[in-house]
Amino acid sequence: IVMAWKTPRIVEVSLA
Amino acid sequence: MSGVPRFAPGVRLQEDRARGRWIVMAPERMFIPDEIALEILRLVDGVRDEAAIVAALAETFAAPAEVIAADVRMMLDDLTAKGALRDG
Repeated sequence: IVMAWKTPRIVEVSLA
Repeated sequence: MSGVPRFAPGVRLQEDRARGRWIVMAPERMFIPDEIALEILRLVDGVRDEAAIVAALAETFAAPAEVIAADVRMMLDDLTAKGALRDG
């Protein structure tokens, strides 16, 4: 199935 | 990043079943990808090079390959700079 593309996002979380 | 991306030692993509999401676990931190970033990370297998990753995504997503390539490059470069990926 062709899906819409959007700019990928990643959230970085400090485990500390 | 233009070669074959792979996860750095001690870094892995894993399912966080308690919260119903996938995360990249790294020493002392984690990365939470959105659904598009996750699709890219699933293709980081240490075998596919960046061009192969873009080609696979272009089959699934309705966007020009050059747009996908630019976004993939930016994301992989960012994760490489943060030590989560390496250019194998």
